[in-house]
Amino acid sequence: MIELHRVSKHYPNGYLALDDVTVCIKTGEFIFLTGHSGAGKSTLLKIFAAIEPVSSGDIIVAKHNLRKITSRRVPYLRRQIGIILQTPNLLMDKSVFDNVALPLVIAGYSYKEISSRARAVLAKVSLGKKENCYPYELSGGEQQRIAIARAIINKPSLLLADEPTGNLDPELANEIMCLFEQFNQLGMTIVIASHDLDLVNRFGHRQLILEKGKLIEASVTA
Amino acid sequence: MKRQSQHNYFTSYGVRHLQAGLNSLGQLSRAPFTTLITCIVIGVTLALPMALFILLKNVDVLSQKLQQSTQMTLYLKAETTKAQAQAVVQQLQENALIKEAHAISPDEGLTELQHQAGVTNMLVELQNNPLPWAIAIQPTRKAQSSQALAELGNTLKQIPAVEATQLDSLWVERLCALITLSHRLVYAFTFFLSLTVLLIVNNCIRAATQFHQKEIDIIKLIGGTRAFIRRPFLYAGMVYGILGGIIAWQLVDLLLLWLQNPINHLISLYNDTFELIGLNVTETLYLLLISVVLGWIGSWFAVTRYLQSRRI
Repeated sequence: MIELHRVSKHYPNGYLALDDVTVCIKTGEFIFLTGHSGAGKSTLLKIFAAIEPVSSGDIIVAKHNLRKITSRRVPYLRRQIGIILQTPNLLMDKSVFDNVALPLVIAGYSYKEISSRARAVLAKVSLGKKENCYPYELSGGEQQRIAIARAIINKPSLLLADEPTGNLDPELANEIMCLFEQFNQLGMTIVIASHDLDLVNRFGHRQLILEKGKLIEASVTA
Repeated sequence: MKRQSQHNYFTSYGVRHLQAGLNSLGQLSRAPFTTLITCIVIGVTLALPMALFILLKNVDVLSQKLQQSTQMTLYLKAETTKAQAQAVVQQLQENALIKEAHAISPDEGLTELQHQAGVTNMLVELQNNPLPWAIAIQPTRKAQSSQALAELGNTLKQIPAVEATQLDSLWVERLCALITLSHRLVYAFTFFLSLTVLLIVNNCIRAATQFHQKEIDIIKLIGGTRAFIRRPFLYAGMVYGILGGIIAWQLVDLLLLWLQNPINHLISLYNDTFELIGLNVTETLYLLLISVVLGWIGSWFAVTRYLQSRRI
């Protein structure tokens, strides 16, 4: 699903965010990307989502070579990727239903299809009864679940999540991680960036550990 | 099956455009005062060249009217008799380029001259009437251009009884040249004011993109194409354009209504009538189309520039 070969990333101010990273993530894998703040986790996720370009090296995501991808093709790549950020990034003037349905509206699905899929996915994240509410009326955990529902509604083959449980209490964090497990069991490749080692160790998946931009260990914990 | 799929594609494409259009209308109606002010500014900007265009259109009609009254006078040789003058008139009436010709006797000519000069008894001073027979000619419409008139004059000079020809069209030629120059000035004016409309719409849409920055970033993040992001802004630009165009059209109509009475009064002093001409249906449609296109182009540049400046 994702192949990186000697990828480095320099920001314009000279900061080296990733240093010669080589890694392969197979289809259907569940990966935790760990490391301290500033280690390069978010940069790596942004590179996977074609938000940031790499400075050197080769990168292939969902069969797209990101070194050669044109700006016209990027939206079509992103339709294959579900992206969840630490802050839910919701449209506050649109209802829960409209927020969740947005990727399908963009992809040009019919209203009937959008309606049935949005309701199904809202039920999956236990927000079925709140489809007409506005995000500002909901709690932080509920808002994060809206973001998750929006990320998976397009049935992406790859789900990228940057600290998805960062603002949630442990019980809710656990609940959301269980949701990710369910998606993974359906064949979705999942990459989660997190510095919460307790949570990461509890779920026991392959970990990619970043330190000062270098990939120093790739391990599987039980 | 393929036809069904194509049908679904076009239906879905149409629905997306409809949604984007309605969305734009919704956004604009949520800020009615700002929208109205912007449309009025666009309307006034478009009304200026339109008013000039209408002014020229009316001057054109007036000048055609004046050109149609262009006369040519043939002065016959001093020894020409009445019968000879009548024969020349008859000869001229057979010419396809001459609409009307009539002879003016030396006495009639003198009476007219006295009337124009404000003198009561010119013959007392002059002893005898020095004026020859003259023939006043009204050329046909075909012969109204300055070149055709000059050619006609040269042809008429060949008639043996004719001493000289006089064409009073120089001032009409000057007027025509002035109108041609004014046309160019109006085109230049229209170009610069259209550019102003483009910049006004561009500025409004740029402000709108800044306001919707978060929404745009989210849409890009979840796979929205540039066309999808651009669409509602393009509709907003077109709405600004068409509303501005309608305001311009109404302003010009009001101006004509306001000017009609004083113009009627002025023209009546010359014992004539003149109805001011406004925009016809085709010109109105052109005005609205140009406004819409300007709105579209202005917003296209604004959104494209914005999208290029964002990293996501």
